[in-house]
Amino acid sequence: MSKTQNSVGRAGSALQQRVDSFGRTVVEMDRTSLLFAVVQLLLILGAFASFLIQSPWAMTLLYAFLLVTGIGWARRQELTAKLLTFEMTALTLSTLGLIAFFLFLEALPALREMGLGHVLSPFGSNQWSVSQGQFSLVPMILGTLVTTAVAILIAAPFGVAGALFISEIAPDWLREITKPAVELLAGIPSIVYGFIGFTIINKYVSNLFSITPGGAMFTIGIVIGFMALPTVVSVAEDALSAVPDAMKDGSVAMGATDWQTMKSVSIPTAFSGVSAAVLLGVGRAIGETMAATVMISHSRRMLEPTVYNVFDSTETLTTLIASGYGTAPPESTYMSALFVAGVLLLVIVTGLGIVSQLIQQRMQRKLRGGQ
Amino acid sequence: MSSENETPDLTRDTGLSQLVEGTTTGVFALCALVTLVTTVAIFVTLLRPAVDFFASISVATFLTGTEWSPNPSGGSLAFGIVPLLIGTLTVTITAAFISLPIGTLTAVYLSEYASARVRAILKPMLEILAGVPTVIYGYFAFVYVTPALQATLFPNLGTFNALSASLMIGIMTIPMVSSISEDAMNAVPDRLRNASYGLGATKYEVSTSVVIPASISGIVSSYILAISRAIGETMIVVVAMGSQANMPQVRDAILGIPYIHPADVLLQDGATITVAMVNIAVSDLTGGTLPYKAMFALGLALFVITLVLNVISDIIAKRYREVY
Repeated sequence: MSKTQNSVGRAGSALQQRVDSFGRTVVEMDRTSLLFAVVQLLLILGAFASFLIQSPWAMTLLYAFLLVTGIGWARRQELTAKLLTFEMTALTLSTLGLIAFFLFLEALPALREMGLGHVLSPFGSNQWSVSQGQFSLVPMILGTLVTTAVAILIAAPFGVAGALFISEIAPDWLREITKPAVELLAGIPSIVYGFIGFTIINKYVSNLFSITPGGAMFTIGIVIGFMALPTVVSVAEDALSAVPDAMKDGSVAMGATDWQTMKSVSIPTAFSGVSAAVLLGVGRAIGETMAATVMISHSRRMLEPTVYNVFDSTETLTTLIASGYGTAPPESTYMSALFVAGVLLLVIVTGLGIVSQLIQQRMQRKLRGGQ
Repeated sequence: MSSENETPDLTRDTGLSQLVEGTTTGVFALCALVTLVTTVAIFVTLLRPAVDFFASISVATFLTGTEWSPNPSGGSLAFGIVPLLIGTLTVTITAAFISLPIGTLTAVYLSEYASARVRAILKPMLEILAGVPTVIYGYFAFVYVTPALQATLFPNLGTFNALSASLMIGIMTIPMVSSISEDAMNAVPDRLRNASYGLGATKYEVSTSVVIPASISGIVSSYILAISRAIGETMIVVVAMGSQANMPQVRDAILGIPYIHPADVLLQDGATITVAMVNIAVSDLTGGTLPYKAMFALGLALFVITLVLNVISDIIAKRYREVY
């Protein structure tokens, strides 16, 4: 109890200190600087806001901002540099925040009309039918889950083992080849993966398992798994090489072999970082659109005969948006339902991102404390 | 006394432990090789149909042709990559104009000006938002940015246009530039900064003449990553820029050098290499036809561009790397 009060009190006094120091900074500035800073901030804010409300004043304000910044650069370079870098950071974050806000706003009508339960609950009709006005996202959520599960079954083991090899075992010359290959793999546009999957892997898998060639979730999962592979490898490798050499050397000096060192020193120490890598891979797999769009059948229904039949084909959340936005009439429930899918994606991917960030931070704290 | 020369066996090298060591090393090596093999396999897969394609359409025609109409459903065929290249270049350059300066300034703010607490909040936020599915950005461009641009700046902007697509790609790649550049700037040791402050430099002077030069290899790597991301971006382009490969009008300048006015590309709809591939892939095409093979030729072009950018980035990173 007193602990909570203490921490609240500390947070309060920290805030107080920050406000005080900000106040001091403001008071210490000479009047011209203060005026200039305020005008600059107001102008960029005004330009941004009037662009958003589509007012023709946006450009005038932007030019005025550039003019004031130019004058500031000549007269008060130090202050201008600080303000400019701050404004750009704030601008980026607010644009990205606005995108999230816009998604929620557009998703509201569908949620209001259908109810959150109907859209998301697996115990309802589970039907997506535009003609009947049924917009249940459950088949698409299932599709996303299934492809992501297959993808991560490929990306996680290969990725983590690959990272272990690159950071712990590989001789220098092999590392020199493998690391650029991973980077190249990460850089290849997703459409290239998509159409290789569509033209080659699709046919191969349907021949192998004697299924109709229609973009089975299994095939799409494989392709997405290979796309997520470089993400897992590079983040896991970062985590593994962050393990202090002193710890590994200590283990080797005790007579442990490479594998024993990895098993009992490197992996446990870097475990949180490695799991963050896998989570990021999951995020990448969920958010992937293009590769899946060209391969998938776009039949928006539950998988049959069982819900976990990976050789059937349905739709994922991302491909739903990609294939639906062109045909959905604006302002309709259909369109709004697509935005619900967008919100869902944003929430899932952001959630995964936050969790993996927290894990990575915890690992860094632990390593710093352990040294 | 004879035992003094014998070294006692401390390694306990039994057959089993050697087997375990060898097997684990082998398995991990295999897993790492998966990435290597995939890269090579993609290249080979692209190469074979592309070679077929270039047997019927010469490389010169492909690289210099100014009309792109693959018409998978039949009709006249033309395979000139120039309009697609112009589309890709325009989008990439415009996006770079947004992402590189704003991203760098953001990185400077986070690394040099922001307090540790502010940075601990802002940086993860930026990184998380870099993972937002791109179809969302594309939709935002189509629904909000294009109408806003029409109302404020360009009344004759098309519903589908390269400008709003490029703006959104630029915004999408800002976090990539800022996050990697910030890592590089953060790795610059404080003693360099302090030495500079000791000489009487201001914060701005320290940022521009100490921190940025010292971290230039990381900054340039982040630029190249952002650019290659912009080249490969498909979804935003499909949604906001359209998919019709248009050859912009070539104008004659005063000196007689023909040029293309940027407005002719930016304000109109157009297609990039990636979008042209999507168009062929989603149409009802049959394997072995010329449009089908054209897709592989485009894929090969993209692969080569990505490879070249990677190599450049590697060279720059090696050339300017500073180790402290």
